[in-house]
Amino acid sequence: MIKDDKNYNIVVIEDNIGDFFLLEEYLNEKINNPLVNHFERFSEFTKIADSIDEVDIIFLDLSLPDKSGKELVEEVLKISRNIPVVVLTGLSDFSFALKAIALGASDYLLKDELNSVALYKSIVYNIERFKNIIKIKESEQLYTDLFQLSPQPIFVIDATTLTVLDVNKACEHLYDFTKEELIQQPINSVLLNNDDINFESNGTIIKQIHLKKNKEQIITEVKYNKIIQNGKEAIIMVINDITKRIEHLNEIENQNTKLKDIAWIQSHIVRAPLTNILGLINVINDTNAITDKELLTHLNNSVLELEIIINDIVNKTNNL
Amino acid sequence: MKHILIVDDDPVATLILKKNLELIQVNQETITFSNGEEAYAYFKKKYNEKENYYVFLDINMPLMNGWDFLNSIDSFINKANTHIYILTSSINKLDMDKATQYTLIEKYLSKPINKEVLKTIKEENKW
Repeated sequence: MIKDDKNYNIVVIEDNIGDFFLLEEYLNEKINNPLVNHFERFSEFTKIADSIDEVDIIFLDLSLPDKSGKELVEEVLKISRNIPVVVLTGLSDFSFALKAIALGASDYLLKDELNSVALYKSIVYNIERFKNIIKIKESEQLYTDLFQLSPQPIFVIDATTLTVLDVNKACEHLYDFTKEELIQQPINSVLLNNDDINFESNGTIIKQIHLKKNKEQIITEVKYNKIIQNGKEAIIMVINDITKRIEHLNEIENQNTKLKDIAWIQSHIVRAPLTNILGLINVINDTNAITDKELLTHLNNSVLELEIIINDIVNKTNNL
Repeated sequence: MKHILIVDDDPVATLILKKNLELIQVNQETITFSNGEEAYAYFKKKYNEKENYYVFLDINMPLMNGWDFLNSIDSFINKANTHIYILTSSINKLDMDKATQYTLIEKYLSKPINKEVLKTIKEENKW
């Protein structure tokens, strides 16, 4: 008969020596040199917690002298993490086997019906299936990370009640609320004047004024998208805080206004005495009026006026 | 009968213009106003369609600036006998562009006023 040559590392937690020997024999029937670690007590098993990643599968008897039932299953699952746990049960506590699966156990085997074929199938099947479960868990973790670590604040809200279902860290940071303070709250509690949200279609971007916890206003562009979460319609609101951008734009516009003012002043105010000076000089040249004191006084005053105006402009540009 | 009007809030600028008119032998008496409002009041009261008006008009003035003055007389003066010469210190393109929108404006002159330019105006108008 062909045996499986893979290097299985199998843990068996079983206080009944007879049951253990039987199980070990069935294992040897299908697998070449399986590495079997046997523990009679839960407390013994905990000692390998650090090297648990080397284990391929755990078989767990549901009643041990130092722990049993729900508590035992939970404690073992806590240690096993990404390793499949198959519970071994007698007919008498069969109903509890289902509970163990609900708690997170991978499979159950009835000791009374155990044989090498069923055992081998259970090993192969549970190891493979668990690999997929881990992939799903990783994918879920990736989604959670993308959501949580996104630099853009994100709200997930119930599409019907418009209450907050979830927020990410960037959201807590921007609004100064903790996640707990936001969850189950109506979304319009962060909107100015308790405005209603205006959701039209996927990808809608709406400019809104939002409120931080301290009622400070934030100018935002909100991108809305509908998703299905846990079978219910939810709305994802991705927040883009444009407060700073708007402030910068206003600042630039203010500066442009000042620059236009300066250009106007240059043209109308500064050039006025300057053109007078030039005009006076022309007249003086054309009329031999160099003896005319009045013209010279005007010329002098125009120069003084020009100096004052230029000083004003210098002060104005200093404030830019 | 012709009238030469100077509308400018700057007395020195007015003086310079008058001296230049003297230099090119325009001996016609000029009438001066220190803002658009005074000039408008004059037109409102004295305007006669059979007479000729030549106005040297500054833009930046208190109370009523040059543009507002043009807008306010536009409805009742005859364009054929009213000639506006913008005379401003402004060399701003915005002001020059704006001047082209007024058909009343004969010329846009930048200060300081040039004797040669005045001569041309004198000859064109047969003063």
